[in-house]
Amino acid sequence: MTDDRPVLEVSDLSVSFASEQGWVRVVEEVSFSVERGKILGIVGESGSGKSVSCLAAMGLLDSRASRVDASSRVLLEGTDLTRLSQRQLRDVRGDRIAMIFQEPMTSLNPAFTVGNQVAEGIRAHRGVSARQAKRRAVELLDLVGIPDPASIVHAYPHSLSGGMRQRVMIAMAVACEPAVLIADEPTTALDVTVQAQILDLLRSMRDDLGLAIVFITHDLGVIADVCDDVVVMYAGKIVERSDVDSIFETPQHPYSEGLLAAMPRLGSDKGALGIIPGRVPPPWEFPHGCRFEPRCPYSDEACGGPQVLRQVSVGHESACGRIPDIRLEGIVS
Amino acid sequence: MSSTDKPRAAEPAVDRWAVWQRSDAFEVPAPVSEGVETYRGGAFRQMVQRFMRERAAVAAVCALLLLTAAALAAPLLATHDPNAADFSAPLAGRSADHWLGTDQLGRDTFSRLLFAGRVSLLAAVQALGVALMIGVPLGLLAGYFRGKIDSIISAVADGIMALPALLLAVAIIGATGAGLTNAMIAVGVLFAPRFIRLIRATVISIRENAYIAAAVTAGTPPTRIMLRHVLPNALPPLLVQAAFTTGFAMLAEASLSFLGLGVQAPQASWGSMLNDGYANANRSSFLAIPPGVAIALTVLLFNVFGDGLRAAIGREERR
Amino acid sequence: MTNASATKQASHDQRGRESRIPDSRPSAAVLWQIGRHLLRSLLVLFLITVFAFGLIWMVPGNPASTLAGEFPSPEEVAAVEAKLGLDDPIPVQYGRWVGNAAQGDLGESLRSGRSVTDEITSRLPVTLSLTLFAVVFGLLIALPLGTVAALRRNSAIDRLLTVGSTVGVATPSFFVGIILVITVALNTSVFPATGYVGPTENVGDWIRHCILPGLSLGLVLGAELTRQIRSALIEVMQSDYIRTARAKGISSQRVIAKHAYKNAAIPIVTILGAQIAALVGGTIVIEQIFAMPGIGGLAISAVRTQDIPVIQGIVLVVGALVLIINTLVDLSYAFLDPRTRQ
Repeated sequence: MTDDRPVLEVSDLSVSFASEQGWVRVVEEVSFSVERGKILGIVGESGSGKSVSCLAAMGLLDSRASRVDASSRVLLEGTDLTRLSQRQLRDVRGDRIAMIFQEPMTSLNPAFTVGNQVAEGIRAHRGVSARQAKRRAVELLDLVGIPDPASIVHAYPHSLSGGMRQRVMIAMAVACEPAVLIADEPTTALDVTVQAQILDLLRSMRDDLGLAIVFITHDLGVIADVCDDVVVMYAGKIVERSDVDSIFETPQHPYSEGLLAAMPRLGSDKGALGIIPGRVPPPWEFPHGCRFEPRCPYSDEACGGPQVLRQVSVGHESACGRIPDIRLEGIVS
Repeated sequence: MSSTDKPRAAEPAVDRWAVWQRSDAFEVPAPVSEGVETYRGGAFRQMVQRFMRERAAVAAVCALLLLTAAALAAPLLATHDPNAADFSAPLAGRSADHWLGTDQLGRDTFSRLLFAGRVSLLAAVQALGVALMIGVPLGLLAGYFRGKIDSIISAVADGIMALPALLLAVAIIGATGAGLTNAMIAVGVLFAPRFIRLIRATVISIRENAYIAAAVTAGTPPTRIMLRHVLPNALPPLLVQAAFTTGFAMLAEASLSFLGLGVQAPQASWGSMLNDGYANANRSSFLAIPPGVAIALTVLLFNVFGDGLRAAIGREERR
Repeated sequence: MTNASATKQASHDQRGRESRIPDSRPSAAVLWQIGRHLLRSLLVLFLITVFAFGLIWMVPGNPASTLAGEFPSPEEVAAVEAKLGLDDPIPVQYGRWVGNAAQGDLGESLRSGRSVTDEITSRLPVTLSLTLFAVVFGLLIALPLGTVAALRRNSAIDRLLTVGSTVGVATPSFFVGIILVITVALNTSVFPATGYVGPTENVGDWIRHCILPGLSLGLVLGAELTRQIRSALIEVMQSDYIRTARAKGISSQRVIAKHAYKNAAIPIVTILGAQIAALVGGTIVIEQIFAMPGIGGLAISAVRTQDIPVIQGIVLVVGALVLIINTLVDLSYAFLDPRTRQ
């Protein structure tokens, strides 16, 4: 694609889960988009709805226990995935949009060889012979930097390290050269050095294959490292959206400021790391107004009303109603 | 948000189903070493409360109590003498006089069912008693002293559990002679390994507990430790296993009596009545039904009771 | 195998990435595991021989006079004593019995005088056929039902199946057999109520004779397996790798048939192996109901006449067979779960 229309455009995505209290909305009116060759970071604590948003976009949520509101749109290269049948969705998944997960240890099937699992997606979408699929699997393993791919292709996942397994997952995801890759905390379970290698690999995949990557993480350090744009989510809603540099320099939401303060940094002049007191409330206890208000050091009575995402500067949106009355501290690089 | 953001909130409402149909139905979880608690006082009451929430199991207990009462009161409830033959009315259908008809000798099926129920229930309890009397002491020995005794006891227990219990029972009866008592002793012996395993596992997990170590160093005699600490902890899983074992023992009794190796005429059990029904199947298609249903129903009640008990002692709520 | 050179090459790999080259040869750990299984099986086999041999000493009173029949003459008692070698020291008797058994000689029947080995081998195919049919029926019932229950967990159909399998587990297989005789065998001539025809004589007749008895055992086995398959599949379907497979865009049928079943197979095969023993016990009664000339019938008539050598032989042969099946189950893990191979 040569036009600069985003390859993935999620708008007004709302997701509800079945619970004892009835349907509970866990993700509300989330919109984001990502262009070819770019990496979009989605950041937030556990329970903020980042993974659910992406699983919903892929149509991977259990349809009996969850539902996506009718107003939601997930446009992938112009096709609305929410309007597709299960069959049509299946053809898109793994072909035009792929996903890798947090736990490389459990995300590969222990009962089948690595090659079998990489080849499976190729065969499903390309209809090639088993032999061709296997040859392609070896190429892919080589592409993601696995040494001696011709022999690893016959290996079972349990004989590989975590980093190697995540490489296999990436090979599997890029097998059909998708337009979009969703990476759900792909480095969280890995050692720091391995983490850096996997980030390198994802960057080179973006460059070589022209992937658009949605990168879910709770680690702002990783965001700073690889992302072009950032969406900050809290309690099922987007609270701030901007390019990566301005969010670090001039955060426009108290929650983002809290996340930045909690980020460990080399050469930090502050002694102790900041922490945000409290935790993300469960979905059935989301406050009516600003959802961050109970934990927010800047809250006042105005925060009890509904908060909408609005532009505060060029390419920078915030859902905090107290902007620009409060000044938030970023990281001066 | 972790990768498992699947909707868990919906689960509690339905989880009880999942628990009572947990598939390893006849395996009783041995208590884990951490989290071992003494089931006296509060914990025991909690367990009872949780059990009361298992509606199917509570219903099963009530039905079992009713069944036992009916068997005990058989002489009062029976409409006829269970052994009085009436050659004028063999294989009679159901009527106001004979609620469940009569058998090939004209004996009243309903009255026989009541008296046979006494025999079947008592036989199952006998087998359970034998299994407990053998299993509990051997399990205590194996778990407490470990070492060679443990190896030998465990090997024999595993060996017995690996083999067809019914065949072994038949073989033992072949040597000792037919008869209900012999049969139920054989069944009891063959079911003892279940209790050996259970008690042994409990003892081992409790021995690792700090307060037992303290009692041991304080010089408390082993018998006292076992009575004070081990048995109270082993009791809930023991109850679960006992419920299942009673059901199994009923099935074993029915099989052996059906084969003519258990109860001997003129005494009857549900198994021997089923044999009568089978022998006359070409003349009456109904005669086999009442004893067969009685066996299946009673075993079912014991299983549901056991499932409910297990759910009540389950670890999931005692974090 | 070129694994050694591959390993060397990998260790020299300058890309500096973590790598571990799999070794497809059976490792020492596997051999050790197999060895341990065999050792345990041998121990159980030893226990079986002790039990079978010891049966004669469970006979109340003087075994020889009890076994010689009703009101035996002293000569008859002496004859039985000599035949069974009861005057030798017990270890000698045991050694002789095991030694003979190892050579396929299980002695002679006290009643018919025929070779116990011949009696058993002529009847074994019946019991094995019955067991085979039971397992096939059990799986035919349980695989679809267990899968449906697992995939539609907590739905009305799941609850129905759960109640059904709970009832099925509690029902004695011989009651099922009697009902099948009453409802099917007595009303049609397709499935005979009695007898047996070997597969070498007429395959069609073999199947016709085995269907009802096999179904009696298979229904009860199927009830238990349905529960097991349901819970094994529920657990597997919640795994991360199932989500990965779905993310790849393969059909849900394929996700279940390939990814879920192979992982659920281990608990299912374990249960099936454990059920084999119960199944063999069940065949004893079912053979009686359908008048099939199998091991069960032999055992019952031997028990009625206290024909100890026949009982001993049956215990030994059937015990050894069950043991072999259990060992095969243990070894099948290596095929089903690659992790155990390492």
